[in-house]
Amino acid sequence: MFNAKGRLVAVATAGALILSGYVAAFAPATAANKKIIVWTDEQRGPVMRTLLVGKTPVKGYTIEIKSYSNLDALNAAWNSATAATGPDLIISNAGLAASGGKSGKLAPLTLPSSVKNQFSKSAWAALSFKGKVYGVPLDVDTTAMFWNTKLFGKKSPKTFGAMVDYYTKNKASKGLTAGFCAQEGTWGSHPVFTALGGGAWAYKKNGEGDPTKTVFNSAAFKANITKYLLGTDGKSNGFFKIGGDCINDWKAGKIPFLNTGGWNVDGINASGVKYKIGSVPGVKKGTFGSPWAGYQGAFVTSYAKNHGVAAAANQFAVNFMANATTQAQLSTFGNRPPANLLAAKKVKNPVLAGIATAGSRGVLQLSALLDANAGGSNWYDLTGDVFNKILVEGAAVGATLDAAAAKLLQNFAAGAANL
Amino acid sequence: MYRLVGFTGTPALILKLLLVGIVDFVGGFAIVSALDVGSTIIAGVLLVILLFINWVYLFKSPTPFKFLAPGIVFLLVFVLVPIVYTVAMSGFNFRTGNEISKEQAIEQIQIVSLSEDAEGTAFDMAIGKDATGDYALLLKNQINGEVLLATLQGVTVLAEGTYEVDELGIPSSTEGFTRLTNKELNQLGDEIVNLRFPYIDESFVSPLFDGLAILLTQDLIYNPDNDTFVSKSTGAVYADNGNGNYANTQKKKDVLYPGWRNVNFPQNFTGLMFDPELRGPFIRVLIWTVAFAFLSVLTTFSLGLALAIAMDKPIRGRRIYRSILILPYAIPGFLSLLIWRGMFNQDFGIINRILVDIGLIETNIAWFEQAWTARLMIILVNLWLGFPYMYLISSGALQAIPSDLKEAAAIDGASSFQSFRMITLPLLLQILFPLLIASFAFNFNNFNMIYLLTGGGPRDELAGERAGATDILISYAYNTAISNPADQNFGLASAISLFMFIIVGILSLWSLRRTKALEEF
Amino acid sequence: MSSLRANLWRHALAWVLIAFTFFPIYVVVVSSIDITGSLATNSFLPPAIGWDNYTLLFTNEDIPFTTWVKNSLILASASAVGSVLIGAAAAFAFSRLRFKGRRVGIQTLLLIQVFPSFLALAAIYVIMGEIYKVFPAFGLGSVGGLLLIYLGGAMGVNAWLLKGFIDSIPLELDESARIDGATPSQVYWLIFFPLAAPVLAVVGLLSFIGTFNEFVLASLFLTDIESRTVAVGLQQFVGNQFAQNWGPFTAGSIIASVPLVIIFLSLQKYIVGGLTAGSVKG
Repeated sequence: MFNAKGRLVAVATAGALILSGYVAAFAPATAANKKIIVWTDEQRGPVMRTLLVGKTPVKGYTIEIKSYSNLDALNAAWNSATAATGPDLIISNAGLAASGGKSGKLAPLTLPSSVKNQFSKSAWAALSFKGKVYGVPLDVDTTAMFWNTKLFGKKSPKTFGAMVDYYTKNKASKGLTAGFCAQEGTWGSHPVFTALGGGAWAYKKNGEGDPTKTVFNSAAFKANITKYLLGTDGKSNGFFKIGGDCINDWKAGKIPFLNTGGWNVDGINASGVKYKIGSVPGVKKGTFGSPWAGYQGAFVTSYAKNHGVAAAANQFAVNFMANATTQAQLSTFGNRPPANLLAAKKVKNPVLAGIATAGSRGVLQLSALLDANAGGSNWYDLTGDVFNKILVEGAAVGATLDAAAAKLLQNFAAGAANL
Repeated sequence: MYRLVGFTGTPALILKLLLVGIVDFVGGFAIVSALDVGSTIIAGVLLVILLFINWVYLFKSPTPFKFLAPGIVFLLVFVLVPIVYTVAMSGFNFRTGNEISKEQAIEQIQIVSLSEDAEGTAFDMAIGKDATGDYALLLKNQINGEVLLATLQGVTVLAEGTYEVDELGIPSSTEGFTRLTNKELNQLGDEIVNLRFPYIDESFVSPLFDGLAILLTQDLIYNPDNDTFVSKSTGAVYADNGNGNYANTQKKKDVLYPGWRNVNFPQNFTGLMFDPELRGPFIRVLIWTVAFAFLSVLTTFSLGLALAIAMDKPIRGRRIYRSILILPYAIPGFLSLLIWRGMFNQDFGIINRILVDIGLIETNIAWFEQAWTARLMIILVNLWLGFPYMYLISSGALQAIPSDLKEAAAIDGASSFQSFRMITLPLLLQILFPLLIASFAFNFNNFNMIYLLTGGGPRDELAGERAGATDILISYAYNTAISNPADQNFGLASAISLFMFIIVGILSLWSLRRTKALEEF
Repeated sequence: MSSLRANLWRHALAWVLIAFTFFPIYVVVVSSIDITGSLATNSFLPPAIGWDNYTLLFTNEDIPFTTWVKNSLILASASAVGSVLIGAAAAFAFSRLRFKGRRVGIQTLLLIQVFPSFLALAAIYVIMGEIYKVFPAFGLGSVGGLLLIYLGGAMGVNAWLLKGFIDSIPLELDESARIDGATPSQVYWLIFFPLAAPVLAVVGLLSFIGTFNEFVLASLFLTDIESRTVAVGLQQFVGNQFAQNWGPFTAGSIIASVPLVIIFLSLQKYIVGGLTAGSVKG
């Protein structure tokens, strides 16, 4: 294409241009602040940015918040994170401790007692894998019962039966589509399970969980499901509704009771329904169902070390994220009770206080056991299937629960190794 | 007819030099930036690409390269390399707990085995240097207030009055200790985390971050000579178990985490074939994948063809019909899928509502909860999405069939149905064969459809099923690789991908070889 | 009148299918103007009609809908131009030049095309991570990075599509040019490119539509709320198991699809021509 001279010119030009690009790249680089990269979900991301405005929690470092659009995207990014892209700190639910600790992608935290004492023992347990703490607790993920006072009245229902009675009596006259909406799916159904005598694992006399046993197929649970959730024909009486956006019917005044978390409070207030907050009552007066009390945590990753910001990330996690003031501020967005005990004491907001009270009746959500799927699927999917079979397909209660219990024990046995 | 004006000789040469020059300039810039942040891989790849481009456009390279070079560069980097990586990963034990390299795992195991002392002793800390220039710490025990000077040789307790405190009450200076200035501190970064100052009983003081240090002990000690870990507290020895973990030599099940990514070829493949836990769902999914792809092509093609035959005559309103009927093809597919999902919703979906209103059913159908309704729904939605395409290609093919062939059949006294079956249909199938195969291949990998409509469900969890009733191979592989953080298996997912690739690849090549298009090669 | 009767079944089939086609479209339109924001249409018209769902998209600070549209437009335009340039050159080479490895080359392209590429996501993340270190604007999570990935697939998809068109341009033109001493590059730029311009425009538009609609890669790759495309942004309204906002979703869907549908319908003649030459979308 070129003659010899032309080629020479071409090569010389190309060489000169490569060189000039090279030189241009050496233009004085501005000494940028070092960065701590934080990954979080869509709800907390903007809140964190607001909290950090005008603050430098770690001297000489800027905090860069990256919020992920959905769990799949966060999972996918976290799975494929490399030293180049990985976050220094990730805010996620406590379940990450098990997988992140196991895979070595999270850095274990060593903490002074002054920090440890600001949180409950169960908070630390939730964020541990094989006895090692991997994150600082942020807030409590739990649910409470919201009941429509215009429908049921201001006084709280005293027993589970009272709620079912109300539903059966007023179903036709008030056009109720269900009695109780567990908006958060099987996770948010746990207070109902426990109110009826069910639950995941059994407890030892000293209050410790015993993953070698399950109460999911206890005689009481079987009897109470039949008594309270099924009609005389053995099919669902329509009282209990899991997920499926039943919150919309609650907001429309077609369901009296709702179990959900603080993140839905803004929407609930906007609907104009008058409500009160409490716990799901048990079958006997004075007993209550227990919601899961899960934790969100801030985890320092192993990548922080690759980036040379491990010390700074630790400082950010301990001095800022775990700090009582930060957590009190965080809790005002999304109405999640703070994990920091000092911050929890400062909570004034009645809605948040109500949720915290319900949460205090909760049981620790041991993700290592609940996420395990050695039996084929994890606790949430399995129990969802159980209630679909019983309530929708009309399967026999006893046999279904027994079959599920067998699978659960397989899960727990596998998951217990990660506690 | 044409003249090669203005684009030959010097102007063309200048234009070419200019374009290559811009690429060179940007490339040179990029190489330096890459070297600057220490990414030799990127710099290397860029250099090869730059040399390739310069060679192609400035030297006597084979002509096809001049046309293919840009495409090849992108194809190599963003398509071929990932494919090769995926294929390679199918030979690895690459799953939750076995994701990092062995070196990283060894480092991490040592970090994990660090633990605080029972009291959680912590110190307020000032960092400085001792008389010899080594790092030293001035510490104040947060629990008992004791003030200590820690050097790499050991710790000495300082008596009251031998040190000074700063405005925060933290000891700041003593004899033989020079505190770092703020500027020095800022430059220090992570160096301090790796410092260990011996304390009593094999424990050591380690800075957590500026201002705070804690007392730590390390339980697992790595011995590089025989590649083992030894626990100080139990005496147990952990050795490489050949499958990506260190395992207790006495108790095989006691393994240390994290493990590392380890070659285990061909376990991912043999597992799919012989391990009943994996084989069961795999075969079930494979059968449904083939059935789904086949039924999709059959239903959409039948309806599309029927419509094409109906519209084969210039009936009134044909153009308007046509414009309306190709709408599903024009609307973004993911939107249609999400909307159909909403319409099939058990509680508020319009489909159940209509069925109840006209009295066909009494209670709402849980479309997503039962295997057969979910499958029916998928075929139906795919029919909506896919029949316009089939209609378009069928009507194109119908026009391509010479009409005298059909007329000849009519003269022979064949009924119109007979003539269709005996003459038109075989011809049509012959013309459309490659497109139908392509459509089959497309549906075989139709991830959007499954992911957005059912997510692969329903799954009979009580029966311990690991794959849903509507899972096709690609969604099954996706779920295996990504969806459950507690149990991800990238190695297995890669093996499934490879399997899919082989099936679809063979099918595509076969169809390509059958088409006349290839005869001209 | 007999023709009408003879064609009755044709009209009947068309009307049945039109009803089938319009059913979801009707539901979407009605839901988008139903201010209760559900997909539960009881009657032919919702009880309360309003434009709330539409205004919400443009006024709510938490929903950067206009940014999403902008991202989608940038991504789709850049990808259309890039893929046409890459694809046209490759198609020209495969259609007009005779060289060793041509047959293998084009078959390899076909094979690569059928690889479920998004399952190679882990590798793409690693590559994009490396790029991120050097050029954050083209790395992981950026619109620029996604563009590079789309361009990676450009040669496979568009070369096949364009080859059909190019094969139909008579050979005589470039042969006589070559006899006059024109080099292949000159034939390409001076003869082929102007001749194929309308076709290239159609392929570019198809590529534009394809990119605009792409969902899976974009949803896993673009994560920050500000860097999302319309497809990813809209899916968030209804993708969450526990929050389904059909109102804004349907309104956004209509805004996003109306221009595409108009483009598609106005170009249907060309697109259909392209379909028979090679598969476009199905």
